[in-house]
Amino acid sequence: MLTVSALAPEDLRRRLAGPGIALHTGAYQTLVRSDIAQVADGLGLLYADYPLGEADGFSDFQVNLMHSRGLRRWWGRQVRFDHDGHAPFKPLPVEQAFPMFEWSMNWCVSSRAHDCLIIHAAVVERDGLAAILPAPPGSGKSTLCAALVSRGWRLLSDELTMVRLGDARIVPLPRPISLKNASIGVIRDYAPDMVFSRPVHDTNKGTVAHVKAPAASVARALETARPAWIVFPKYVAGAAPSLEAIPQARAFMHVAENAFNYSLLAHDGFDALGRLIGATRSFHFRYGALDDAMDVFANLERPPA
Amino acid sequence: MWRLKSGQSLQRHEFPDGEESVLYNALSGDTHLLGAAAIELLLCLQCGPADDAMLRDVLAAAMDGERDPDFDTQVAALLDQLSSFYLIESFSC
Repeated sequence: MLTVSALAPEDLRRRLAGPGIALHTGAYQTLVRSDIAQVADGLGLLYADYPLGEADGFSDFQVNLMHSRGLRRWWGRQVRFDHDGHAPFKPLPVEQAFPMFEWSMNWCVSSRAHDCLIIHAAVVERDGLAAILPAPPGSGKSTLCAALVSRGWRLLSDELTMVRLGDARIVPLPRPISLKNASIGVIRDYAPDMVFSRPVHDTNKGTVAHVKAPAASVARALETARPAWIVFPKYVAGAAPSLEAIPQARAFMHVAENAFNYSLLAHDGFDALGRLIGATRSFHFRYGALDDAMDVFANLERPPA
Repeated sequence: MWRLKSGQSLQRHEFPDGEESVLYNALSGDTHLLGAAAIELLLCLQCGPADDAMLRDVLAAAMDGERDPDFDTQVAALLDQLSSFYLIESFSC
């Protein structure tokens, strides 16, 4: 199957500004259209390994990121996102077009993909077992996720953990890892071989940059994973690593609080989360150094087969 | 007298590592974290209505017959809490 990398930069820009490209990200296909150079450049750099479908075929989502019209085409240029003709967000400065693309892709899935229980969490996998990292903003989730991926864990998702309703298996959605502010420099130092987008400043999250998902993770994007651990991370500078078990009923409540569509799914969400919790062990995890975190994750106790 | 609120199926998940369970409230859509005593009371009422004395006896039996001085007060408070969740309701016969 053709990938984004097969398109020369000018061809990619032309297609995005015209019929669009049908981008495969795991189980979903998104028709992306944009007349903005930053979007084309970001896609060319960070989505090079992703398969392309037929632009005139069926897509699960339609994402348009276009210059705002009127005076904004020439002064204080902005990017406007619309999904299937609806614009759920206010326009942003055009310099934030690529982060807006990433946020819009997250929004499409978290607001529409209700065939899964969707947890606001990173999820990585090694040796067939997945570790889910739910965390509110600022807890170091994405930094930890990026570090684990740099050390060989498969990236299933940086932001949205998709728990399949029938069997609680994790459905991958590997996309670029979003880093903010100081974490950008931390991961640049920790994993100098990772590919970064150009940092974008003055967003509502501060400075953001995105890290390219490993090609191996993208290649296995249709391979579901068995969940084994739920780890609530908390970075505390200078802290010794500590892993504290959480009783399963309490872990259930914590995860429910971090799930976008738990209430919407009603009984199905309750069942899916119960299955997930029953299949996993949960922990609070404090750490102050990434190498310590790598050691702890490498030694997580494997569940019975 | 107490009875289970009509429509409550007591769909719940119990886990082997502790005494707490999670229960889905079919009327409100809420999820409740409940201890063993609350579950015991609900399961009793699932079998049929019961008065305060009967419920106290059921709970005491489940706790190996122990009743400390605050036992009656604690059971009353637990029943009120379950009622506030629309899991059970009181009625006059």
